[in-house]
Amino acid sequence: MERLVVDGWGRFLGVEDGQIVVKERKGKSYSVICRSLPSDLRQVVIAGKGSLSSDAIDVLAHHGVDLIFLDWRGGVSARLSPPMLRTVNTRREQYRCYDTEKGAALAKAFIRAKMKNQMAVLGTYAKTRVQADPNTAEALRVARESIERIASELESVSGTACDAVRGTIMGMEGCATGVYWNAISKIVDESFGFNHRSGRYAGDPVNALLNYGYAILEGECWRAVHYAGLDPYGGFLHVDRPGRASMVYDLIEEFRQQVVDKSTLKLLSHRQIRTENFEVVDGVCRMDDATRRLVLSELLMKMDDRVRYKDKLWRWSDLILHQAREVAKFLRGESGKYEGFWLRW
Amino acid sequence: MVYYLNEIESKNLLKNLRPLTRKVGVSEDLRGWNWNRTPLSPYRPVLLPMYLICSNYCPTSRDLYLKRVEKRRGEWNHPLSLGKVIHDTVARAYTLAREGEFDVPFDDWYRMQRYEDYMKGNLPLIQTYARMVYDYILSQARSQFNVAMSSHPFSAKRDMLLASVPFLVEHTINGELLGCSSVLSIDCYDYLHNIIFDLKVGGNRDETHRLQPAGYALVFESIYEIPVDIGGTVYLWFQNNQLIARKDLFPIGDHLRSWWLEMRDRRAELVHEERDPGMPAECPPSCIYRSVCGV
Repeated sequence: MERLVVDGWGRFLGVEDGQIVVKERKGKSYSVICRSLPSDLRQVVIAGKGSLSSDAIDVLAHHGVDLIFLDWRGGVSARLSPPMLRTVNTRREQYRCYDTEKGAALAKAFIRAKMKNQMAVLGTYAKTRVQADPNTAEALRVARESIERIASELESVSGTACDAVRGTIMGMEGCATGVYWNAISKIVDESFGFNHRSGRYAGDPVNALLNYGYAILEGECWRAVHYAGLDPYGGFLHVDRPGRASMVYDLIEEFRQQVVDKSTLKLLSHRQIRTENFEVVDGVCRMDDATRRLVLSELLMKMDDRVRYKDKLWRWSDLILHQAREVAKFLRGESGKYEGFWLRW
Repeated sequence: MVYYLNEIESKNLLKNLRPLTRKVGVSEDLRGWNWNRTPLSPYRPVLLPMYLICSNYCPTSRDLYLKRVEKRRGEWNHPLSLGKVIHDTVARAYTLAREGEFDVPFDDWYRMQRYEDYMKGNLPLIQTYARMVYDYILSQARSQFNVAMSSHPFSAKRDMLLASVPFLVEHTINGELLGCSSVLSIDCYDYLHNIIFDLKVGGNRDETHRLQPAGYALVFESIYEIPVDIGGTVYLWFQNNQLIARKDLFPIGDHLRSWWLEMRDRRAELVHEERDPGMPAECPPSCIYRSVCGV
């Protein structure tokens, strides 16, 4: 076991004989439902209402295990990570590169990868539909071509600092993302009422699912950024703002489509999620507990799933960590180029 | 050498490539036998020869537009003539070797091809080079055959020929399932090592040269349903009247397969829409449509 998810009510995470145990309350007593060696764990996710002992925190920290707490949106409400080594150098370079060509190149690399992944998703869905629904397939293909044009324009953007290129890059990103979601909305069942990406406050089930998925991905990217020795708040593409983990948001751009969008669309197309699983509370669309668990388990399974990239077989979470480390290597000058992650399909 | 692996290549294959392909594997969706599913199924009903999918003669792919949309023929030039003759010669030599005919004279066959009727370039030099290749292949195949016979003295000659010259050259295969022409010709399939080779005449290595074996591997899998995980590009060139042969062996993994699919779809799109992609900034010197575009 590498990732332990403690989900549900009344569960307790503790230590017994050097092992991490999860206990569940039954009546007045607790029974052990899971037991694992801390050395086998990579991450512990607390997603429900439960409690944990300080012994457990100590043991997990000692073994370098990441401990995160998720809220109902999937957002990381708190995290505990062991102290890092070798971060000063990396962080110094991270801050210094912000005003250099390197910083601008990084900002561009994140969005280049994002656009290529958007193209891949659209191209794959277009091909899937070419026989059954040629009109939709054509719309997807045309959208893919539009993004390709924007991506080729992106190549001509150059600058000597992040501030010099950010506006242009974000403008292009906005265009591409608009085209992408407009095309994706054509393959989502109309009953979900999905017309556009609404961001933080979901107005419809698809946006609620995406927000939850991105929040889980954010947790994974945060972990990667932290372990790579980078400052999560020192971004290149996303502007500095108090409390905003801009570096995490930068890295997340490469992975949104392949990790979250595809998983979400798969759940929708397999009809594992229905409109009745959602309710609108104070204008925000929320999913029920069963759906939340389903999405969480789908995405955590995805993180442990394997992907073939650059002739290697990666676990998604390892690949995210690898990319964060590549950013750090690039900033420290140990590599001459940073290439964002993208797949062709 | 040509299609035989030398000592270093064999070690590389056994110690690096094979373990790598076993460890990493290939996504099931990208195996040729899933030709009827996304992402392998072609988007457009256009069938293209492999060289038009994978070639990078023209930076804008205008050669494809001229060939398939305007139906124009390119002009023979020296590199094209040399390439064609060397491909023919390699195929001829291996075909003879597989039949155990190691002493057939080169000149009789060469004369019958009547290359001088339509080709352009330094034809006497091309003939000299072709003879070098022919002699080289036959002498090497003979040597391999003798080694095999001496190791297995009670075996049938035909069996030893099949084992010592394990190459299907110019193997014809139907590529329609994957949006390719109905008649594709694979330069070489090494059936004992399960490697698909593509032959290039010239010494300039290029990443895009790996696309052709990848495409053939997909087609091969679509027809025979046998996984092909390793490809090779054989580079043959001539320097100071010396034949030089080098190989690039590589895994045909997800990256190459999806790259090939992207190229196929892009090229098919261009033909389907009959869209002129425009002139390149500069024409490559060896392009057969140089007289048409001439930038």
